[in-house]
Amino acid sequence: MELERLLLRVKNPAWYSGGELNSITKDKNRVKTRFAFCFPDLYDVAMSHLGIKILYDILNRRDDVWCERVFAPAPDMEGLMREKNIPLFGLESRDPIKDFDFIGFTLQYELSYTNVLNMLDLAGLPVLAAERTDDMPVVIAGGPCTVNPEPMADFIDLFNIGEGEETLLQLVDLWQECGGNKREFLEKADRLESCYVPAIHDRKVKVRRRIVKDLDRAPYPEKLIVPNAKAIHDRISMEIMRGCIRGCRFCQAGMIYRPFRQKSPERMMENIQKLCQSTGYEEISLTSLSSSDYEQLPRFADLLLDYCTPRKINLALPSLRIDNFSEELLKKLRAVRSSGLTFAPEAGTQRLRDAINKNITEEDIFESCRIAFQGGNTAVKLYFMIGLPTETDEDILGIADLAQRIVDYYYQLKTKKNGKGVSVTISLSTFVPKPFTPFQWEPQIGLDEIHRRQQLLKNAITSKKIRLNYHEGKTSVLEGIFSRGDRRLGKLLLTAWKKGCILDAWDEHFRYDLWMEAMTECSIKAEDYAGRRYAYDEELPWDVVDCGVSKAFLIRESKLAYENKTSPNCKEKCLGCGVKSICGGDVCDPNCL
Amino acid sequence: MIRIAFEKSSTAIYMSHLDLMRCMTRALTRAEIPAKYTEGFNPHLYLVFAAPLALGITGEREYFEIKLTEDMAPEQIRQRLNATLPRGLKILDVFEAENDFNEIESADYRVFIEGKTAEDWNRFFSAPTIPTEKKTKRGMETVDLKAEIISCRAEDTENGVVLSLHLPCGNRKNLSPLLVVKTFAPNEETYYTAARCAFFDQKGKRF
Repeated sequence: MELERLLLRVKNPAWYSGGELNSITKDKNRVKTRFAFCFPDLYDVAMSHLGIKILYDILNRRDDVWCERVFAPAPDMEGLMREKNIPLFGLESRDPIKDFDFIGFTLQYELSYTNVLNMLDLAGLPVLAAERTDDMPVVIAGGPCTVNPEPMADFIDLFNIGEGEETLLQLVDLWQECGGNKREFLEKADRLESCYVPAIHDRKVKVRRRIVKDLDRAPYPEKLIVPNAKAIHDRISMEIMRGCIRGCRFCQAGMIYRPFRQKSPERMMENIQKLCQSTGYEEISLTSLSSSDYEQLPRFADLLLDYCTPRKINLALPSLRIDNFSEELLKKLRAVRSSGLTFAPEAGTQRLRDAINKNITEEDIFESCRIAFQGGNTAVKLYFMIGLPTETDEDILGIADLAQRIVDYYYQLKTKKNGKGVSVTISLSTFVPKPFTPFQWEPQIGLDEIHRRQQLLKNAITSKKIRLNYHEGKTSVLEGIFSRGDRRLGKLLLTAWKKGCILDAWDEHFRYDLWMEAMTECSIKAEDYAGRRYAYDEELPWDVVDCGVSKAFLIRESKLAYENKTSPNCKEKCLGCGVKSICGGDVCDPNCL
Repeated sequence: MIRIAFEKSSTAIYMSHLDLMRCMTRALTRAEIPAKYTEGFNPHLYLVFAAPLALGITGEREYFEIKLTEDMAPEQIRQRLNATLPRGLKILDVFEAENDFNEIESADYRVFIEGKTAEDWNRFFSAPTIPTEKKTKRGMETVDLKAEIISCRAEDTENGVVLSLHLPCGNRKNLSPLLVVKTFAPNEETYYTAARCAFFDQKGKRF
């Protein structure tokens, strides 16, 4: 076969060969609907993503549906595919996806948008929805970025907003009912609560984000595909909960995944046993936005450790919050194996931490460090952001100061092992205003200002024990443009992609110069999108979507930020964010927590 | 020491040696084979391969060894593993090892190269020396293929040549058939397939 002739010429042939354990092959003549699940990035990133695993499983549980995986090829493979006229294919069947019924993209980050265009083009399809004919596949999109569908509206036939576990199957049913008539399907689908067909949708009708009410009852895979070539997160992901009780004002995930829902330890142990048996993985990662808010964590940790320790399975527990980080839990986790500790204070001063509603105090930070150091850890990684609303130079210098005091604290403790120094790593990112957050109206700082603030921090760090990692800043500007963008950005995406912009999330492929050229040609300025303060009363591009949280709530929170006032979390007090309107009130009632 | 003979073909040939080790470790876990772990702070499965096989090469009869913590019938090990391996990996047989992988001296390879003839090969191989660049731990080194290749035979097929190569293999001296291919047919578009067929010890006895 033609593909085999090319695979030995590319760097990572296993990314395109298929044949992995637990990948699903069906007889194409015995299925009614073929679905290409596309993750618009490279294999090792895509295969680390949990959502695709859940939806792949749900679709393939149906005998009449065959869902395959499709990822963005690396440039070496893309070059050969274009040269030899090999259209983009499903990894399971190697059939061209242009002959499938559905092509579904998951939009996880803005910097993957050009990859969507590139993949459609590689499939042999027009990238613009308007230019695709009725006999071509329905191109749908979901994932967190679709809460603002507008920048991608020119390219996607249908957006499915929210959690896809139930709605994806409804769409397949509707497609089968319509006998594959795309026009009829799109018209009917647009009337479904969670669907948005940009070509025909009446903007007065709000599209409501769909949620799964009971995670225990939602399907979870019993098998996971085990990649032949290592994925970035090559392990079992166990989703312990969805949503977050915290209301950090910059955090989109904390708003758009509401309400807070937990899975029961029993159900998860059931999932984990099956997954361990079917994959043989040596590591389990508990995934959530804030693992330590899981109410039955101590009990669950015991159950997990009882299962994992004799089997030599590691536990990874990311997203532990600094404030309720428990000593006992750390000890337990260390009983298996542990990597360094990571915390996210996000801001360097208490004033700014209050303004962004990151309810962490300095005492919390030092208490966590004490536990970590006394437990034998010497490496601490801290996540911070620059460019947060109300930030001053004092806040930035506060980051360096805090890091220095952590270093000093380590040496004061006198628990340090001989010859072992402390290492504090500051990982610095740039604030990007995101839809459906209290900071959705805020301007992003410009590139020069990003550089100035990065430099300011860099110069303030004197200790060799402190390492500062940051990203140059150009990609943040682009994220800022697209996260709050409108439909006019379709032209920019198209222009940039035509100039050769792809894989923008990868330093070695990101071409800011080409993006600048494209912006000039399209008369689009960063200042009009990322750099602009949007007005409270202005019609926002994403107003067509109802995520659950109300604008009134977001405005209240936004104003509190300017008073440096924190808000209680959902467990302490219901703030009336509005999410009850989509979950019926029976899920997020604080009494149920 | 339990030795396991396996075949690596189809899509499994695109697994690197490291990928293959990970894959076999997980397969042993899934199959619930009572395999022994190493001692120490960071225990891992005791797993030794006869010789790494470069990405892209088919292995017709490769080997690895494990230790057991309790008895299990070889046939049961074979069946259990075969029930849980990805496409292209197949256990051929399982037996008690009677010799050591360190004794491996050479291996037979069969290489198909499209668009080339036996005559091309014979002309190539008739040169008094065939210098080529080989990547080693110390950097690039020039080696003489002519001196390194133990024996070879070329046969024409419909659309190319099939080389039967006997090459040094193992810890002391090793020559990859891919280096032979790249020197003989340097055009990167050349299509080829390669398979390792057998291992031999110093006396020429088959493993």
